Amino acid sequence: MSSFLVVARRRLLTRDVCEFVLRRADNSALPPKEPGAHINVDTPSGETRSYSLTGAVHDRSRHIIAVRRDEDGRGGSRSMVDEVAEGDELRVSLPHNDFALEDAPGFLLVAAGIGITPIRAMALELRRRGIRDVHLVYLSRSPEETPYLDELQTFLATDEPGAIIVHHRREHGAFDWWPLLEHPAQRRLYVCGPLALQSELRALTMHWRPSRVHMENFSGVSAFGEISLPFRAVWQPKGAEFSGSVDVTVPAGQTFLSALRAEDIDVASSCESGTCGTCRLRLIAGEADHRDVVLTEQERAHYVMPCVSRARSDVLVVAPLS
Amino acid sequence: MPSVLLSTLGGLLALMGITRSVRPRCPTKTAAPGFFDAHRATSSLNSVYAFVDSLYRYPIKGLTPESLDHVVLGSGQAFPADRLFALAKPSGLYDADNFVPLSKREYFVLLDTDRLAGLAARFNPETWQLQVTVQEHSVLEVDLSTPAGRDEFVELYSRVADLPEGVRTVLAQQKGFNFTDNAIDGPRMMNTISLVNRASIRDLEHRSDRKLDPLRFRSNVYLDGLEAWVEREWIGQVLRLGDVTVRVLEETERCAATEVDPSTAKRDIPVPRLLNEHYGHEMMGVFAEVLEGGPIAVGDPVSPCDRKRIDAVDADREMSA
Repeated sequence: MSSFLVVARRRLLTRDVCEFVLRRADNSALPPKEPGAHINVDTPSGETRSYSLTGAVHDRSRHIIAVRRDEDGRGGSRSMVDEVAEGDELRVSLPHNDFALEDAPGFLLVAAGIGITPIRAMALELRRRGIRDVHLVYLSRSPEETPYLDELQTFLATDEPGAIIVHHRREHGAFDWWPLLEHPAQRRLYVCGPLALQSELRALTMHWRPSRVHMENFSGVSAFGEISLPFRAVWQPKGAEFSGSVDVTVPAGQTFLSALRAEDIDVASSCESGTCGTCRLRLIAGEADHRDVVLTEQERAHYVMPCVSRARSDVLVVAPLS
Repeated sequence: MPSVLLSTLGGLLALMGITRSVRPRCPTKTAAPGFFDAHRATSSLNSVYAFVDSLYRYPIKGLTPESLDHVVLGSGQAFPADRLFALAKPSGLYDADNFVPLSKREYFVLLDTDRLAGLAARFNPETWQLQVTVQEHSVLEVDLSTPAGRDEFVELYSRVADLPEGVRTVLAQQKGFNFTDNAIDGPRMMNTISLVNRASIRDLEHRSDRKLDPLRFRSNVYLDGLEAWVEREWIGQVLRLGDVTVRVLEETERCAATEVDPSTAKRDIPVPRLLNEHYGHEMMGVFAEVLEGGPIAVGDPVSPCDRKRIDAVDADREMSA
């Protein structure tokens, strides 16, 4: 679902980053939004682009986004910065959040360059909630290329030293992460930046609880580049009419097999890579997205290998072989 | 085949697909036909030099490898200090007091917990000191012989495995038992060492156009200087590795643990599927039992065992049996 919003204001934050304030033409309230959420914008180039919401999320009168003009991109961001003027209308989706800010007693926020946009929304929201143990590390090439620099420094300036660390790689070189990461305690880490930064921080937080390390990434893409959307399954063993079947939700980041096991359904397996055939289940209803190399074309209508395969239909109904 | 190619050792090695530099050690054994190259038994293969490329142990199942320059293997024994411990899943089937061998599914392994590869664990079997590092930064130094040390270790890995607060993995350890995947197949298979032919990995790399760290296969002994896939014909054969005699028992069928890159701890390449796609099997490496123990070092020659020696070993074993 999308709607047209008016550009109430635009301003250049740096040489190539432009902030847009969007509101409804009649000034009525927009749908609620959370820190970390993004909206999809139909840009004048015709390309649809996702932009993180960066302002105070509790203010429902407007959405604020900041767009970095990518000279080498396919033109979406260029057309936003070069062509969109105050008073223009843009077609915008509902806010969607793949990078939710979860509760914790303390936070380490890391942003690089334009990655500051969702992180800024988080910092503002955490301040509003009165959470004091918030550290922000903001990496950029130079002070001139650092959107919201002055504002964040003023805003986050507290009695506590180190609440905001602005690190300009062009001036300061590599950043020493270890003092901030050595003791995870109960904190959560949020990272928005390029893949190289994400990989570096992932490698340096292997001793953290993985569910407390949050990076905005392409959710739903499996390790091997396949799209893995969530789906539902029903486990219907023999006698289910008496004992009841089991509903299973398979999230994007989990295999069908491990989702079954999470419901205490014991399915034998061996390779867990779609090659050995051990975990074969009967497919009673629904259309499977077969990703194994075991089943023949004829078998695929009646069986599924839950270690790698997923669903094409909304629901798969499965049962053990015997 | 142009004879000029064969006129130099380099040419011969190039012909055999050997790309790494060969150590200036003289081969001491001659190859029997069918050993180095099952499919080219008529080729002149006598001067091919197969050797031990590297040696590794994995003191804690699922955790990182430790490289060794040399090791002393015991007759009828597994690789020393290999898979001495395992991290058992909470509320699973592992029962320290009524222990029975269990499926790898009962332990935290790379099969489903890729992050285990991101922490480097070093264990000293003499002192039981264990150090865990993250990108060279120490995050744990404990004595695994003390309850306090074991607690700290278990706490760290429970966090890494993302168990709910208060739920702990169990550090499994059983006297005289190691937690290799095939320990479930009885003591004979438990007391084997694993061998991988690096040429087979290179062949898979070449065919799949993917770079594969040999440590994905978590083997004890890596061999090189061989033709790709000769090890598939070794089942039942007796080999000499340095001063050690082994009998190859079984091939190693690969699972999703090999999908994890050991240096990035990311699941990134579907290795069993690539094997299936390119060869129609999922094998990489073999298990062998040690018939005659002794020292073995990186660079040691690898060769088939001559008949006389096999007969002597068999006679010895019959005597002791």
